[in-house]
Amino acid sequence: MIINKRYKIHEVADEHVIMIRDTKGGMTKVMAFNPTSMFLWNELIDKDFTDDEVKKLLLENYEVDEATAEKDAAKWIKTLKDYGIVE
Amino acid sequence: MESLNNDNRHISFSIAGMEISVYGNEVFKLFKYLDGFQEFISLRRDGSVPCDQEFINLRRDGSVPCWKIHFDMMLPKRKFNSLYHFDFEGVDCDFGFTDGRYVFTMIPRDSDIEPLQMEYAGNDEVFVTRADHPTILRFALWMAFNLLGASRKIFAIHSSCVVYNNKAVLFLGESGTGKSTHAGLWYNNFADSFLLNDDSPIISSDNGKIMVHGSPWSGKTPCFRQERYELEAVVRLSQSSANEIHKLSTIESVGALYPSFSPAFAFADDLSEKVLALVSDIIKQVPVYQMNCLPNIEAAEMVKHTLFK
Repeated sequence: MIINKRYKIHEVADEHVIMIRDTKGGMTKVMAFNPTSMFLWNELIDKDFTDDEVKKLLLENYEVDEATAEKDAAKWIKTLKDYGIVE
Repeated sequence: MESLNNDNRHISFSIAGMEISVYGNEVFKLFKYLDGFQEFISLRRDGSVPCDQEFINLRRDGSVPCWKIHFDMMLPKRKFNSLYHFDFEGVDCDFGFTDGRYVFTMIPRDSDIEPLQMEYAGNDEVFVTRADHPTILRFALWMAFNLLGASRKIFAIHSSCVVYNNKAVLFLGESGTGKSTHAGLWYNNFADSFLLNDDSPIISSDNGKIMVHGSPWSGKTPCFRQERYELEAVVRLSQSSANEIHKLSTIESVGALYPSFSPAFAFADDLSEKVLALVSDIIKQVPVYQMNCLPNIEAAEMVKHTLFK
């Protein structure tokens, strides 16, 4: 999977956000990124990656056990996939 | 002494700290009586020397001209995919991008009225076919002003603005939420309070200060004040069965402010980036509140008490 290049992270008042516009003319959604999410984003921005690679990044860079890393990786991917940011 | 410049006949406006000078006979005629703009006239010369070009210069007070709006009837028709379509008083409006430039068109459904095309290639110049219809010209100027202001953190913001104790308070909300009604509760009931603009005041960030300026665009309530005030707070209104107010988090504040700027810009990466830069400045400087309210005086009292303890 890859990160959709249409989306950019903006720094707004010390937060990192993606603006997600509803193409049907509804409300714009604001997705906020915490430092871990930002780390994954920056590592994966130009890559074609798998679930396992996201998990590996978490395991290698944060003090988490394998089960937690797998769960967090899946959650990160699912959230971004739900909005078409990762596809 | 006779001026060497062909500027004997021109008219200038002062809007949001910008000196806006109009040159050329045809546009001069249009501007002279343009609704809402007359309160902003800063200089008028009815000379008789014609100017062979029609354009508008914009500059920050006291600086050299920096932006230009060219009136050009020879603009080539461009095909483009509309990124954002909307209706404005019986006019089909489309905003899109093609061949390295933004294109904005206004096509009236009444075929007796001339359509308009505007182009902006991201520098300091906007090109536009001349619009003779005042409704179209006013809106086109609003769009040009926003396109050119983008790089300087000057934008129109869809809101009602009241001034209380010399501080500006912005009321945001979707159309029909009751922004004007709530603003009215302030200026009809509180001493030292008045309406600055009821639809599209201009907000700017200058050296860390967020200022709100009156503008010639004020929706259905004619309120054209050539004045500016420091922003005290932003209040997003929603209708509710009871009055309740709370401060929004940074993320929620972004969500409240961002949709209040020109919606077309949300479809253009570099323009939305500029909107967000201003949003960022605003959130760093002033609090943003969510007010769920009834259209009653208690609601206005509650907001006033929260903002001005």
